[in-house]
Amino acid sequence: MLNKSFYIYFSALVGVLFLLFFPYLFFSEKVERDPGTVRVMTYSSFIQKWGAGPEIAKRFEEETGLKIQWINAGNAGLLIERLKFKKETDQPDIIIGLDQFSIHEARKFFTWMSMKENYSKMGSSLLPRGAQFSDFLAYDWGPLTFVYKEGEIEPPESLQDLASKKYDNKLLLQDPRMSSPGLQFLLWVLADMGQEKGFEFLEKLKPSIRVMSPSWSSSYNIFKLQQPTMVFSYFTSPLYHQLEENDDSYKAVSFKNPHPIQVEYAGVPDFCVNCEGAHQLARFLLRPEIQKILMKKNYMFPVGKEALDGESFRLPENVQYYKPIENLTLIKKKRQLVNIWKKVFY
Amino acid sequence: MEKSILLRKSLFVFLLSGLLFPIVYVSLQAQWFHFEWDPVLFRVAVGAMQQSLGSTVLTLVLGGLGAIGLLGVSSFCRRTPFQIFQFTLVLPGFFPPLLVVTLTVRVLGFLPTGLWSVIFFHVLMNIGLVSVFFFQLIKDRAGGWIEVAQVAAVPRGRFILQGLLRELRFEIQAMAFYLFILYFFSFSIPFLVGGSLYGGIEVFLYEKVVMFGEWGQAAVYSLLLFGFLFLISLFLKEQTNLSIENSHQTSRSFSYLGWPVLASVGVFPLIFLCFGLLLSLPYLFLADLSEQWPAIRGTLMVGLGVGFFCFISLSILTYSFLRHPWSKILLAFVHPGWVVVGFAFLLLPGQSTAVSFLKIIAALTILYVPFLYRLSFHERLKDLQAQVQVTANFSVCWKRIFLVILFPQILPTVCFLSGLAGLWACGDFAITGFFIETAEVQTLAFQMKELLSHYRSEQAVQFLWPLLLCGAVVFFVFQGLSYVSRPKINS
Repeated sequence: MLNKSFYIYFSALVGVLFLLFFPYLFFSEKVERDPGTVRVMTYSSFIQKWGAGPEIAKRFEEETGLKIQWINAGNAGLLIERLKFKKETDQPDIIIGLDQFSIHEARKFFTWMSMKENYSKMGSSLLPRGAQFSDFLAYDWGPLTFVYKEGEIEPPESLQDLASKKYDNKLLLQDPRMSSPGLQFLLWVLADMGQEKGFEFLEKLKPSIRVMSPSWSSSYNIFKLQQPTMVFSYFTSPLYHQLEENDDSYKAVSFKNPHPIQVEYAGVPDFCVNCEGAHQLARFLLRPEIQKILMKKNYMFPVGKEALDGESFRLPENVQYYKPIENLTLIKKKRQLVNIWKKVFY
Repeated sequence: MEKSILLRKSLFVFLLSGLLFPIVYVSLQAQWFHFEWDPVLFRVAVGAMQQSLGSTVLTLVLGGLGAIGLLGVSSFCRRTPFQIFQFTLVLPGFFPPLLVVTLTVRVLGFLPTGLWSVIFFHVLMNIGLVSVFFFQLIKDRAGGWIEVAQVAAVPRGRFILQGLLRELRFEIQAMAFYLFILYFFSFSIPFLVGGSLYGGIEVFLYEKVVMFGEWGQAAVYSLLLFGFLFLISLFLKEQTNLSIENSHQTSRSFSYLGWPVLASVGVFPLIFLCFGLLLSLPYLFLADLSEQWPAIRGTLMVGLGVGFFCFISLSILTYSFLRHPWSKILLAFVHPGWVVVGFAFLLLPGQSTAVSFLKIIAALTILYVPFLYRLSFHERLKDLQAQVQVTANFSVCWKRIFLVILFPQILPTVCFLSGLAGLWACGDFAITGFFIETAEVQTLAFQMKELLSHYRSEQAVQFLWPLLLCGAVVFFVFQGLSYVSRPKINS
């Protein structure tokens, strides 16, 4: 038989659990829907305390009196999947954090309200041509490239250079099945060289690849520890080290070839409940002061020119970009392309 | 008795329904089941099989050596320091894999990749756990044999090869099956260092879900794999031999092997651990711990909550005490990947902080219970079968059998496994990431992962110490539960 001490200890354990749980049960923030709320579905890091979400929500509420209620979709790749399973109780008014690949999926399954009027409120745009769509509002963007540490590796001049001997075992890439930058790299190669030559190039590139990681974060962390290597990342990555660590040695490679860009979009679905509030928030995202928040928290470029005033963020010079719209024909063949990619790497 | 069998079966079915809930719920929501053969699955499965077989064999061999080392050390080490020592051996298995990989790069100066790298990291992370389990097993099950061998002056080498290995063959087989499944469905390590050939099954399923939204395919493949593992489990033989209880002499016969063997086997995980902790020291002093209180509270709640519900689930399984073929179902039970489990709970209504925490706890419990069952619980339950049979022959009511015979004897195992589940839960960020619905839902491991995803790897390390502390608290709370009930059991 169990002794008395067991029951006392077990009751104490239940008590401690209840004490830890109690404050959340009765004193946590209420999330019931009311007319003064805008429901925003987004990815988890956007709503973290170091993400842009909390500050934007605070300012939006101060100015409009509308409260933001977050619906977390986990990681950015799951936004559309989450939306497919939405219920009336968790129907979002606006979705923040889609990229040019997921908006293609988003259009297949849902109808989206026009954003033209919201764009018209914006001043001069920094966004490369072809990155704006009438049904989705771009709120930040960033060109992608390879990042390296100055003095440790000689930067390549063209995409083709990456397959040369001197980069053997030096490249850190991401898997296109798991990571948006990884898919960007695959489409970059295919857009630049064409499908057949692109896959031939990837075959040649294999000796240069040290790690093909599941996410940008894992490859970037390995890059920081293991040099000399080059990681496929954002043009803005060196800015982080410059501004936060006072380290100027991180550099972004400017290729002769046009660079791919990653654009983040917001969209208002036709099933929104507080549609006016959603559009208000969309317009709010384009305000210069909010663009500055997005720029500094996400380490991405703003879409409005005014946000750069007085900031150390500068667009790279003499760099050309692929238009996201050019990728659309490729993204429609995503399954086929990824299957060929698997044959190359499996 | 009839009534009690019905109740036991009902409880088992209730628990099984809970475990099956994610796959059933998501499939109902997605309205699928369609099947289209993807030839890549075969290649992925072969790669996963190679790495999991290699990892399993090496972990078993090195873990066995570590257990002998522990056996020797335990003879002259005091109880509390020895428990803490065992805890540190288990720790590498609970760090986020990304952190393990990055710390190893710091220690080695390079990142190895490929089949052997996957095996290396798997062994590194689990060797301590296996050593501790084999040590407990040898003490509990083969103690008497060691004494007999000593009296008969059997050489130690022959005793280990012909005595211990033979005597514990069923337990070794069960542990091998546990490790095989753990490695076969391992996600982060194969993906980080495996390269394309050894990327792993979970990655394949993740791709189906996230990239193509093919929930149906992911579920069908999961069921196929479940069937495959179920078939393997049918070949696992049941243990029939009786153990001879332990005495203090067990450890002494190996005392001269203690430190040398343990040092050669356990040295790398420990060096790695100490190195990682030392690295985090400067950042600890930079960090304002009071700011981390919500994350510490969240971590403790998740750890204790998961430990508590695993305790309840294992207790229900003890009460059910169902044998073949029921036990085989749980032995082969594999979840269709954490992404499906997380998503199932995400689709459930409720978004308050309290509900989010409950979802995290429930999802992790569902993921861990089948692992705990395979880890050692199944074997321990089998040990008690003879006693239960004898008592049942005297028409003793089931409630009494449970309270007097089953539960007190299985309690140390239940507490250890619940503590282990709590420890793992403290380090989880994958499932937690699904439920950060409000700013109040915070855990240390998730914050570490988020910082790692935003360039801030140095800041992430500052969470290591509080995370370790929370893990230790949770683990020892459940060990304490076993400890307080011990005197009565012995009397």
